[in-house]
Amino acid sequence: MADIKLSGIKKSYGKAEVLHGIDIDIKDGEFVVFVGPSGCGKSTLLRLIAGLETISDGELQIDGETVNDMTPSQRKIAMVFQSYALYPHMTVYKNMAFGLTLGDKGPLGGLLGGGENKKLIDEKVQKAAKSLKLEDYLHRYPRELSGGQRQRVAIGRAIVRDPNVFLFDEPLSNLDAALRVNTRLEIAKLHQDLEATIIYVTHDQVEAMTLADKIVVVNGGHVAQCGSPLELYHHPANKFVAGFIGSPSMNFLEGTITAVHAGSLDVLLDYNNSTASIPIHPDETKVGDKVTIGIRPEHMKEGNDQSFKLSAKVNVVERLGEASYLYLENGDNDPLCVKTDGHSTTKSGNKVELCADFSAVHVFNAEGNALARTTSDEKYIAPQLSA
Amino acid sequence: MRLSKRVGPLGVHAVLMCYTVIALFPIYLVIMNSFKSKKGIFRDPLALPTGTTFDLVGFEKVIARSSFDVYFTNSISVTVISLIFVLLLGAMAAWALAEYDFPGSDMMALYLAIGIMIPIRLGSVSLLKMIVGMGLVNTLTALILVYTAQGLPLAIFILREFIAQIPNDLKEAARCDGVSEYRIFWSIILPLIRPALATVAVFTMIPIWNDLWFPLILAPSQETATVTLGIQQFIGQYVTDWNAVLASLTLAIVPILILYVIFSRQLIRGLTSGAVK
Ligand SMILES: Nc1ncnc2c1ncn2[C@@H]1O[C@H](COP(=O)(O)OP(=O)(O)OP(=O)(O)O)[C@@H](O)[C@H]1O
Ligand SMILES: [Mg+2]
Repeated sequence: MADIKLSGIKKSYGKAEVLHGIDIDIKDGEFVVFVGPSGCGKSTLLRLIAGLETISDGELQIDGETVNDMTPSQRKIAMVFQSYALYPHMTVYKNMAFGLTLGDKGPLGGLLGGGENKKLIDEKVQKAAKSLKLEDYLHRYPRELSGGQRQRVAIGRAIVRDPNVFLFDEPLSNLDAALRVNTRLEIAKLHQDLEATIIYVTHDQVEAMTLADKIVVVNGGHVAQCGSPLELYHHPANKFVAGFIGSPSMNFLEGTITAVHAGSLDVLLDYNNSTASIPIHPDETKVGDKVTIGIRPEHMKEGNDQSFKLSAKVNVVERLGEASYLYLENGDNDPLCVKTDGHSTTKSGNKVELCADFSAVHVFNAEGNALARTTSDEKYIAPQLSA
Repeated sequence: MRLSKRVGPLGVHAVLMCYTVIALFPIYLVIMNSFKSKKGIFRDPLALPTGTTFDLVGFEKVIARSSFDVYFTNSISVTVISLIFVLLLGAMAAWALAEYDFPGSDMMALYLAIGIMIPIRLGSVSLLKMIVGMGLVNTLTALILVYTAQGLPLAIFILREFIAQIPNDLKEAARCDGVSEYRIFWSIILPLIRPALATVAVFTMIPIWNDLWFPLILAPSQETATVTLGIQQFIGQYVTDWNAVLASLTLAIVPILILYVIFSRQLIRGLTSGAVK
């Protein structure tokens, strides 16, 4: 059992505050992924949980016990580093067994012996090696292994310790694309087999979406949103999350509110001065407010049979086979992107009619927070995966 | 272009060869002449020993007339024990200074670095007073203490740099593994700085082995004399027994050469490869 609870966690390096009060609840056995742009504080947060950095303020609980002042091993965590951090002068076997042979036990901090007995250790190492297909490499040195194998050794070293919580810091970023997909699947399988709590840091949103039970999007030292992958995809709480999750990323259109009705807003889009009436709870908005409208490329299609309409000139067409991406003229801003059918005959230079369903249209206020939609379209409510 | 490419290494090699010859020539002379008779040495110092000039009289004299075995044992024990202290204490201090941020750690590092710049011989008088005060005159302990102090600053300075270069992830991985700080030092840091330890060992051992000054003022008795001091009995004010001097110098090269070979084996580069990508 290992529930983890972060309340008001802050971290400063000298005067510079890097994390500004993080609250996250992680349930036992959950696979949680921290994502965010570079430098947002993901690694720092992970290292705070690991106990490799001191927490400046706030409380960290594992299993209901405050662990702020505990060492990494007392917290019963195991960490897999981005750089693998294998001991270069030890064989694969020794790398995995090292943490077991000598704990904190024994005189002089384990210098004179102590730790678990040999047979037990051997059993554990062999078992981990088997599950990671490392049996043939046990007597090699890290320098004699490929990147993927080193990665597996690093994971093996974590497994043998049988920790409550696994921490991964961008474990796949040094691997090539094919190996990355493989290892990703292995990690997913590992999570099923071990039923352990896993916290995983990445800046790759595909990894986040595919692996996570729960994604924590971090931005500039704040939690931007925390929820299941589909929740984040369909109901981003703010513009940052909306733009960060999904690939290609969401299209944003600037606009101004021209009228406020009971269950909808009229928005004048800067895009081609068209007005759209969008079903949004009008509370806290007034006429003249600036808003941003967000639509994902895959939720737009060619045609005019849906409620939200747009016409535009196509600048570039990218054909990927199963789909084609149309990039639309958008003045000096980033071009709008539409994911359309692979058979689409649209060419660059064409004028096209585009439409989208209102249930897929997001509206963000000037602060970037999402406004609540009034449509209750079941299609876009995240399904309960765990049930 | 092609010419300059070829001349570059050639020039470098020429300079290095020159230097090697200059550095090795005196040693060559010593060793060669130690196998010659007195006449052979004085008639033609630069000639190789021939059938008529070959003579082992120097070695015979050294072994028969002096307690050379005692000098040798003294020199070796002083050098090896000081070396062990310098490496062990130096590595421990370097690890502490590199890894832990405690109040005054920078000042401490600076203070130790000053020891590199100030020759320890400047303190000979106070050292002698201290040794006398401790009643350690004419003991090998006195020499070991002084040599350890003399070797530590450079050892700490060099080892600290090397320890700082060990990837942080390795230490943190070990800490996550529940490995104690002592154990991290012994099982991870020390093996990884082996090349640096070997370098420091060579730089520390040679001045100790060659030193004449401290044996002379701190431990000049027959029982505690080192090789360098022992040889002095063959160098008189009026007559110098060159055969014996050269023979004992030749013998003195042997142990230090063996130690050097042992340490230079450790100077393997790229030991950390494979640790982190
Ligand atoms: N030891 C340190 N001293 C001062 N500032 C630090 C230190 N470590 C990290 N920071 C700062 O904290 C911020 C967050 O760093 P962190 O390593 O957590 O980023 P990250 O989200 O992991 O980024 P990336 O995806 O590039 O790994 C950065 O702005 C960084 O400059
Ligand atoms: Mg990072």
